[in-house]
Amino acid sequence: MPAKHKIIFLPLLVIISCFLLNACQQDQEATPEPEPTVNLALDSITTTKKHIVMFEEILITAHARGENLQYFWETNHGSMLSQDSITVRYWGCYSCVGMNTIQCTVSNEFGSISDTIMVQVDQWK
Amino acid sequence: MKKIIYFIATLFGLFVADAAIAQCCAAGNPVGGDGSQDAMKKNQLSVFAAYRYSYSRDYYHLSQKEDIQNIEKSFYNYGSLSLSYGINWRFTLHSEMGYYFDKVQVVNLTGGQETIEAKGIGDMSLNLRYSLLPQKIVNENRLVFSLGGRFPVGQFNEVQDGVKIPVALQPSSGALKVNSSLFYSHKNEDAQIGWSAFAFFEWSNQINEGLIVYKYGNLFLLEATAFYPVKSSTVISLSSKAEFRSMDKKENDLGIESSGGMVLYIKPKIQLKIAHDLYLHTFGEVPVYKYVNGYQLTNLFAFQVGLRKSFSL
Repeated sequence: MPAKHKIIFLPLLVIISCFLLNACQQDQEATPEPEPTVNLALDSITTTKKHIVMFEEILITAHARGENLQYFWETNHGSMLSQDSITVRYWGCYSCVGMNTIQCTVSNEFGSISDTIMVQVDQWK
Repeated sequence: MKKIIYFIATLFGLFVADAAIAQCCAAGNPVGGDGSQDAMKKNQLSVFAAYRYSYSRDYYHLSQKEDIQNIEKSFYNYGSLSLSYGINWRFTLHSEMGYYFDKVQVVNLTGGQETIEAKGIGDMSLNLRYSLLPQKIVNENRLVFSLGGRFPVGQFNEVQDGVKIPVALQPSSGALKVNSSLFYSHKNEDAQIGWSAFAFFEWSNQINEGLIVYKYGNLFLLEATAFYPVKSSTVISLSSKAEFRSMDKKENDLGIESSGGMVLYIKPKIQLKIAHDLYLHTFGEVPVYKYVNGYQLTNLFAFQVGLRKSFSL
């Protein structure tokens, strides 16, 4: 190949290569990646407050994903009432002073999964 | 015989030293649901069906009533069935099962009043009673020692709208309890009034189920009764009962400050003969003095009505 042609050919090769490489990357981005099916997940449990005094009421919410979810709440000390399907109202009485554990178990046909949150109940000053 | 009595007296002395203080709404069955701790004659079967209502309302701190409205009231409706069988003149086997038609707590929350409610089978009680003195027709002295337990066979996982109900409102206590009692009764043939005394001690093992780690305090009861036969078919009696309960414990053996205490009750009772070997028993129970650790919801009154039928097998 004459030197004159080499001068033209090499930059052209680089440009074409860059173009092809970019095209491949665009193809990869454009290909839709399959979403993993969320059968059952309990992402977090959140509460309006983690440090309360006796008979102070807080809301505790379970953030879960999946279908046909059922929620089961329990605590070692304190009382709870269901607020809606994912939230409970919690409070502690005189015998519940201290660090208490609240556990939520979410279940459906794929199994069950649990998570806990700690709430400190103090006496009235 | 004297050695046995001395041994039992010593045992109860130790129990008194260990026991302290009371609690209002303990989980599990009420103690002594059949209203009698006596022994049976050989091959005699006694069936006792009873209904009991208990109502708790006022908060107490030590011996003072406190104006705390967070819990409006707590009550239960409870039915029980007891069987007692005399194996021989010395040994009587006693068992009891109960059912809570409801066990309720009404709470005052910011959004208004709410109710937490459970129902179901309670604990099963099983005791062997040992008559220390031979039975006589006149100048009767009875001394009965009992040993047994209460077994958590009933519901301890009651749920309301996806939320597990607190331990104190569960029909079953969830704990195995071992108990022992001593009953003494005396009536001279020519005396108008007879009397009896009853001492009861109960120890509970620790509940360790899921998140719950809990141990009920020791329970000690002392009851003295004077009874008077008005007619051949009617006996009225008046009892005074002292109930001591030590503090409950939670995780790491930590005592729960607002648990345990002492309550003194007055119990008027009537026993009415309805037909041959069929008796109606009824009593009321009113606390006249309360001393609680910390702050606790306390019992206001309870009453029980029951029918007892005896059979000779």
